[in-house]
Amino acid sequence: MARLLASRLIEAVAALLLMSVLIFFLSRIIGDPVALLLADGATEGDRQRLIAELGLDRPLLQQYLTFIGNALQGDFGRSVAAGNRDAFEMVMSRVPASLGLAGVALAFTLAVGIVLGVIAAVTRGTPFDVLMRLIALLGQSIPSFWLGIILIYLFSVHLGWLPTSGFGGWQYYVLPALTLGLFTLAAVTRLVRASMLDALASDYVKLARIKGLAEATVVLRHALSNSLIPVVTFMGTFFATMITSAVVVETVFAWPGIGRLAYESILSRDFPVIQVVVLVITAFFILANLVVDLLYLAIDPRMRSRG
Amino acid sequence: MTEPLLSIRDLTVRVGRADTAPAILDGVSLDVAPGETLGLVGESGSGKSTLGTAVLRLLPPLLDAGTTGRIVWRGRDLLGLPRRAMRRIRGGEVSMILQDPMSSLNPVQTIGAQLREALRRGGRGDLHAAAVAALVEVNIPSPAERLRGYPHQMSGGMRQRVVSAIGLAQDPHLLICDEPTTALDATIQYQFLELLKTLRASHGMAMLFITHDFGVVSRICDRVAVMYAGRIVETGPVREIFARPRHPYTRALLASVPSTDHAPDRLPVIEGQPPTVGNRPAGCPFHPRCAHATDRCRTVPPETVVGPSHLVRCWHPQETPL
Repeated sequence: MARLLASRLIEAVAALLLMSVLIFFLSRIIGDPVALLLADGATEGDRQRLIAELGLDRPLLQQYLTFIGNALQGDFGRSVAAGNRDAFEMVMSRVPASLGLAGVALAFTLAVGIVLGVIAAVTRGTPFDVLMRLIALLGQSIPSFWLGIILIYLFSVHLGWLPTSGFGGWQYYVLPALTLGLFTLAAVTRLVRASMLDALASDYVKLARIKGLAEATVVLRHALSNSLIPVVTFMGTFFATMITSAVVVETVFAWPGIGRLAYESILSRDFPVIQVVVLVITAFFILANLVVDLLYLAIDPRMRSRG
Repeated sequence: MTEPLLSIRDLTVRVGRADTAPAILDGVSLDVAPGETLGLVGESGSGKSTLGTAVLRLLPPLLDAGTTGRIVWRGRDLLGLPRRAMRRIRGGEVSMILQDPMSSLNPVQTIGAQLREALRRGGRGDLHAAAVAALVEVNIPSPAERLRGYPHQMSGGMRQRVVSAIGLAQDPHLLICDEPTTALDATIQYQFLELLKTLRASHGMAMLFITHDFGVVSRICDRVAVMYAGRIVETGPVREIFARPRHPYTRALLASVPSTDHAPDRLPVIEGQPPTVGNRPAGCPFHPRCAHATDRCRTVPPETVVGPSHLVRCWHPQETPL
């Protein structure tokens, strides 16, 4: 247990460092921030002065080392597009909104997806099962930017039930969480259905029935407990999907999270902010995978004795 | 003869409800008397496991829907029984142990939880004490510790003993054993058979013992029914069948069992392949592979009494000793 945590921690640091290298050099390739920052009619002298001020005239390696050195002290530079604000603070102020949305979406996805998957497996071959599979297929095929706009049109503009966009009470969460969660909901439903079908055909479920247990006990206690293992395996991937979809969904719903910040800072080539956004997202991934590993230990005794 | 515990008549299991659907079991009839052990022998695909599972009404829905005939358990036809009543028979009156001990225990639950679940239905008072006693009965060392453990921490032989403890937890009158020794090592097989014999005696139960191994039959069974392609081709007391097998298929099976006084360089094999479900020949299903077949074998042979409790379904039952 302690050894697992320690090895995961070392991996996490290595992954973050690697990511910082990648993001640092990639962002240097995609565009020139100086051209964006300069006002119209700036002279070549102004340009040189700005380059020197930002340290962009020094060798790349030196720039990187400076970046890492500062980063370790919590200084990720200042935004070049948003009025010289501290980049790290800018990103961190957006984190709660994003985590809140992703959390609501993930909880909704898991709760509904597991229930639908179990029902589809138990009613295999019936119209309900076919309907569930159709919905799952649609859920995985519909692009989120389109779904978001359609939901806004239907529930906000046409019916007037929910706010179109923005951030506030629970009403504000419904549409973006639905949009963000639908793809994963479909994936969870299909995954649970498939693993439930495997479990229901297994010998241990047959033995549970031989004992004379009620069908509900057989399904929930014996089949479902085993079917959740693959769901946990994919949890890290689900979380990843949510973070990447957040860029689109937060932009559509004007949600003040890091997804929209990523979109905005890429548009304005705001390097310092992009760097922090990507590093924070990487940290989330690593954390999510660690949680998955711990959940594994909790639900699968075979993992525990592997040590 | 005493009233049979289990009496199966003309049991047919088709893949679906239609009369034309391929049949896995084709008009099987057999009886199991109280305390008796009936061996059910046949190759893979002969339908013997389907028969065992059908008695508990645990076939997949498609096959369960295609089941006709009668399965009379202590005077009641199980095929007409409502779900709830069938559930009360499972475990408590008829129980079953399965072939593969590696997959028949739930990997994410402790041995204790799985055992207590069965004991609770049997109405035992102190569940923990009963669970310990159940493991002691199947010779599992340090039972209290084992109850807290998980299946993956045990060997195959030990798991199979846990499975039998679960099977016997509600003190059934009939235990269906579906090739319980096939997945075990030879030495463990022997130990396990001896254990089953002890349990059979202490619980006073009958057994339906499904196997493809005549060696196992000779160790544990009183009577044997030989199955081929979904039908019972010969049935009789074990000694009688071993001494005077009459059906060419039974004879071929017995001839291919090696023993210390019968160990030829090359074991005889039965030429050809058993027919697949849906491609079974008309008449006697064995005739395409049978050396004694004539045109008459294309029609279904009647069941003939050829000795004391010895029945054979063949147009040309063999007389000569094997």
